[in-house]
Amino acid sequence: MARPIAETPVLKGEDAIRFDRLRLEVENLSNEQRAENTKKLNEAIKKAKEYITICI
Amino acid sequence: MKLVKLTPATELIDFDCQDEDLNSFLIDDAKGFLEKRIANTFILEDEGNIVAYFCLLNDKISRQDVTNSQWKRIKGSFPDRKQFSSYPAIKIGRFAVSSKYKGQHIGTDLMNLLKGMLNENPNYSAFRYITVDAYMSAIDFYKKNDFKLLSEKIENDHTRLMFFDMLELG
Repeated sequence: MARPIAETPVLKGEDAIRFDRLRLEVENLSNEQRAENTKKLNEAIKKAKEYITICI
Repeated sequence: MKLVKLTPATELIDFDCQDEDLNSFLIDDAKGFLEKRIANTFILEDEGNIVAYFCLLNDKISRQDVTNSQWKRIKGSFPDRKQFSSYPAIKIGRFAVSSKYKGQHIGTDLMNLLKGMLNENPNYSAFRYITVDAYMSAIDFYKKNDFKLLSEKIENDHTRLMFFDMLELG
């Protein structure tokens, strides 16, 4: 039996504040930045699909 | 290579990533998790060999409301206070590459495919984050794949919780 899958704990205090800052940074990204991130991911996926076929 | 979903009929032959826990999960636990609807496992195969695998399950990132004194100190940073006490997530319960195939960029390629699958496929239920309880030795791998540490505190010697924000994508 492998170790159980850990539960994600509730963030408190400074951790909660830090998480909210990171969350807001992403929520404030421009559409152009999001499109750029997606383009980068799609290029990486295209490369991976050169040798991996998804059969799901 | 083919990426397939584990089914009750999948024959689980030898897999060794040089970590007993990750080996044991695939061979001993993955089908039980599937049958109990706890987690789905996906396997990367190469002519009958298991190259890598990962499993996915639902999760959430919860945050406790800050105290009034904390709020006074930070409210300038949050012009719009609208926020949720928890955010839905998908957890990577396990992610492993066979030692025979390490050093070939397969882990990163598989992670990109995983993000693409979760981003592109029609979703009946929404989620904001991908979470993972990363081994200390794997933290750099996840950082390279744009995951961030959930907490700066070190709670144990073995793992750190990390997350990727799907809202970074269009």
